Amino acid sequence: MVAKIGIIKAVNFNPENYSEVVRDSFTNVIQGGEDYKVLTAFEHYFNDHFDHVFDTQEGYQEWLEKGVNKTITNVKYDWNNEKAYITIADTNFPGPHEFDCTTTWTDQDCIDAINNKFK
Amino acid sequence: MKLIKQNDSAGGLIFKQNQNGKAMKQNYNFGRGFNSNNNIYSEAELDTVLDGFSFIIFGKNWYSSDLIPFLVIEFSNGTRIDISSRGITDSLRLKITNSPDFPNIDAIGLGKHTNAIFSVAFSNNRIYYNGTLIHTLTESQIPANYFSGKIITKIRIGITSDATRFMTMGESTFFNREISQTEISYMHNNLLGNEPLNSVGILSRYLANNAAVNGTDIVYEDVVGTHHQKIIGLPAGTIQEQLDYANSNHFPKFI
Repeated sequence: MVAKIGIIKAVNFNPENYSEVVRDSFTNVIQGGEDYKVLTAFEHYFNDHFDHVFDTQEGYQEWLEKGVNKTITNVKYDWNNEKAYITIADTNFPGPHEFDCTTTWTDQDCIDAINNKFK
Repeated sequence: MKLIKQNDSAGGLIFKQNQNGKAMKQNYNFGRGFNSNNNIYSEAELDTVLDGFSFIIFGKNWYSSDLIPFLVIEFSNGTRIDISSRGITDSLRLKITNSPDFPNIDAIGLGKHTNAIFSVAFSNNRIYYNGTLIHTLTESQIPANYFSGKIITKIRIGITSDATRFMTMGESTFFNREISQTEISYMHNNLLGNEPLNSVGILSRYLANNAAVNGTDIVYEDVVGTHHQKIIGLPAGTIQEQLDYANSNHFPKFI
């Protein structure tokens, strides 16, 4: 049995377009600053009323990462383990994201680290 | 070596005969385990006042990043125990955080693990990795018998975010009391596993062999108590579709 993930912009979402079995299973997500409805379901529940259908979770995750809000909200250091922990404003991937680090980073160092992680 | 009998009085354990003709117990059978991936995880709600608290778990292939936890245990006063790791060959880390009574205990390294089976046990503020005591928390970090009188509210198994990560939990046993190092060594059994040495005071025990329907939920059962692990994040569909999917995709043979 194959599962897929479908997305549709929230402004275009109408629950009556979908099977009663799954119409209450949509969740909300923000990507690139836009509100979407997301459904993970077995493939036979998907129809034309989606903007895009992903065959795998990895594909869906790649799409999410393209719209990450990279605004840095917090930076912490663990000098015992030489790590930096950066939190960002994205709702899907807030972190804290861990990086190897031996000295206190400049703001640009933190930005570069996040940009490198979410290309 | 030949199989000589099945002993029903010993819980159906299978005995074999060695070269000297003496009966010996067959290796413990871990059966299957719960595989968490694609944001599918499980959790049990509890509301139990504890006399004490301890656990022993068996895991395999815990792969994560950014310290996303694989196991989370929550208490009504906010205290939370979790185990995470950064990568499949990085050190597992146990944390006790968010308590109103003591500062966070962050990132106690349990040891570098590979994709091999490992065990973690916690009892009497002592932490064991693969059956060996590796860390003792001091009274300045956490009071002795801290969990006595506390209310446990949740046991969560699996990764709740980041679809690219995965883990398998073999069997896991949570106790409403402290357990001794002898009990831990017995269950660990050089990573061959064993039944609990003393079944008194088991809060929940998950063998994670298969999914089942419990009302409108898909669960794997607490074989001692009633705190079944509800599987969360399954694809939308009928209850039968979800049951079939869980059994086909989330309960691999553990060994």
